[in-house]
Amino acid sequence: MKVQALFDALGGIDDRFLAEAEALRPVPHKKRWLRAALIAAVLAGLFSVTAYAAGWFGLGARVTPSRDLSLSGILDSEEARAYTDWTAYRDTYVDAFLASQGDAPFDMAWTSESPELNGAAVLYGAPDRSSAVRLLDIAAQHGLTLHTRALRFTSGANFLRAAGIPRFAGEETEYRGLVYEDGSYTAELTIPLGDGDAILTLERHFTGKMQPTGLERTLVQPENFLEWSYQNAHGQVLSLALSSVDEQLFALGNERVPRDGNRLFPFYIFYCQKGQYLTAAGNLRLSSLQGFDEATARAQLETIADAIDFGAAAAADCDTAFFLDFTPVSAPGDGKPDLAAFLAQPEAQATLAMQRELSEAIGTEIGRGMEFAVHGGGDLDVLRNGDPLSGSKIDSLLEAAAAQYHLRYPSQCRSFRGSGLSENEILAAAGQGDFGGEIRYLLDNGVFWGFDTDRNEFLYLPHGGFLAGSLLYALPEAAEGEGWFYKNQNGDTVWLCRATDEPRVGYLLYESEGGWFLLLVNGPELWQLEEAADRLRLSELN
Amino acid sequence: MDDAAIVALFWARSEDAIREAEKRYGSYCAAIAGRILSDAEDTRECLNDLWLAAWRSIPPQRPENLRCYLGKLIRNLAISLRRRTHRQKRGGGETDLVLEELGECVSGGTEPEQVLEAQVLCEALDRWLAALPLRDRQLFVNRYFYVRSVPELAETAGTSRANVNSTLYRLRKKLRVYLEKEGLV
Repeated sequence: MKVQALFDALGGIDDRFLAEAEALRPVPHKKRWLRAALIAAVLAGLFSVTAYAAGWFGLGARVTPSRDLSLSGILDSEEARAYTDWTAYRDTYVDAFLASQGDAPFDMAWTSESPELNGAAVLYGAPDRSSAVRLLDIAAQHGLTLHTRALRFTSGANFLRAAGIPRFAGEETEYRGLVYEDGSYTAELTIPLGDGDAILTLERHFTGKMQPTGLERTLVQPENFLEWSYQNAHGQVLSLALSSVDEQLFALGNERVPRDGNRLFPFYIFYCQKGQYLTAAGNLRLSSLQGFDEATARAQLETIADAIDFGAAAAADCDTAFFLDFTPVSAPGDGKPDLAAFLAQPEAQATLAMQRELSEAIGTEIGRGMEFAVHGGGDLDVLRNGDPLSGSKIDSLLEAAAAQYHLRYPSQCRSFRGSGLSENEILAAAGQGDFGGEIRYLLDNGVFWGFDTDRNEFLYLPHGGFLAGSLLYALPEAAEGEGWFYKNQNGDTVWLCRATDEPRVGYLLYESEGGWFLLLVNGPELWQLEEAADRLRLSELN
Repeated sequence: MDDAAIVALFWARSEDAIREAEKRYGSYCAAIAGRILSDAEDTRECLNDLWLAAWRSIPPQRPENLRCYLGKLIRNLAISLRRRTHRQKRGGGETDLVLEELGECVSGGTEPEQVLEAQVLCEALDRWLAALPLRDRQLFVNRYFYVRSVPELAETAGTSRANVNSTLYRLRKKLRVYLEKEGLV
């Protein structure tokens, strides 16, 4: 029998196996959650401001690279090797723990007495003491030091200011990214070019420092790349590397579908100057009709290389003192929003009152009530997993509260997780415009909630809507702290507030014609709140 | 619109049937064809063939599970198209890898008497799959029916690539033994 016959025959297997295969999910659920939590926990550090003073590694420690800055040269560098060693170790370590059925949990509460090591553990994703020690070993073996702190900026102005760099890819380019304590950075750029946007990542590294992210290129095969030297429009001599193999032809979430008829070919641009090197990475789009045409592809990549002033991107040093005391581009304005008036609304009153009652009844902490607020058969049963109260008791509690405050009690909840619906279809189901958030759940009384693009949780509470247990839980404390009006870059005026005592939570509140939109912001810094506001287009809400 | 309603439209010879089926299962079918063909143009052509094939086959067919029906149809069409065009993706497409892996389960014999009726082989595969633990079966079908890549499977299953690879390797060996025992290799 030939292999093709077997492959063909597999096309006729029983339907139930096909449906069953599509239900493949991580098991056991707890382990999956734990792994995600471990990785999320360490990556979350990139989005928060930790309260220690970092130990800086002086610029004088940096050495001029003598290696060849080709793709092979980069792959062969100590920095890339250290990154490969570390990620291989970390993944094996986490997998081994997961395979142990959770008998030997990481000490998630572990913190080092050294703030530098704590910072490094967060940035590189070392989940406990043992792995943090291994991280130090790997860095030492390769003669490298570690980063200790980073801030993530979604506002271009804040990002450029923190990194201490000009608009090195033009005024029209969108900038965002991470800035490390020594002036290294990862810039995510969207550069408008004649025939569409070029989306790429530009990383600035100093030799001698192990990189926490961004060396996924260690997975690429240099033999699939064309490489050549090119002097760009700014007079900088660059190494350009372009893959002739399209690797991302079909990719869209869990489904893999053709991407608007284009093929994507990975590329890299390398630039070296005075002890540092810059690497730009992205995908070149070529028409599928055209396929890989070397001359066209080269010309396109050279156009991208021309658009970036690598000298300017490498020129400025980050002012570490400024970095530590980073303040936003804007600041709280005059006038404080009347959050007390919002909290006096029946929708807010009912939500907060029921949250307290439910939390006491269920024995869970305040703020963990959202999953008990969902109504409607299967969804409620799933989300109520582990609920010591019977469904009917919760239902009766909530129904009574809704009646007491004259609010609409929901009878159905629609979950959009894994629904396969497009973003626009979900927004249409909720009757909303594209306000910049991903809706996860929708109640039939108009309440919905989900996440913004930076994983901040939001809630929309329409007039007369009711939701028991929600992210409102810390709003009363935040309302007693600082509050100010802020006009975001899309022209929406929002209320921002943050608690001055622990927990230092921050909120965004916006009143639309139909109700209130709340966002619980990860991180209480002024600029974090304002960046969160800038990402939203709240006038799109009905 | 649910499956029954779409099938009813096919039976009523309403062209809305194709529109509704495409809306509901277009991306699912495109994903299957895309993985097998690794070419956007071929995938589009294959999808056009799919709706025509569905139109011609329903009726007389009345599939209970339209998703699976269309999934099988597009898989067969994609394999046929791939065979016709003899296209090999540079650097090795996912289908090449899958065929290479499945090669471990067969002898490669070409004698006419060894050429099996697809139905017999298919029934044998059903029996073998039914005897597997659920998770093994899910991984096998995802890899060798849906042609999903190992990294994608590892991500979906929440495990490492090494784990997926070793599970698939074990299953291929098991399948080889089974096919030999059944006299099908």
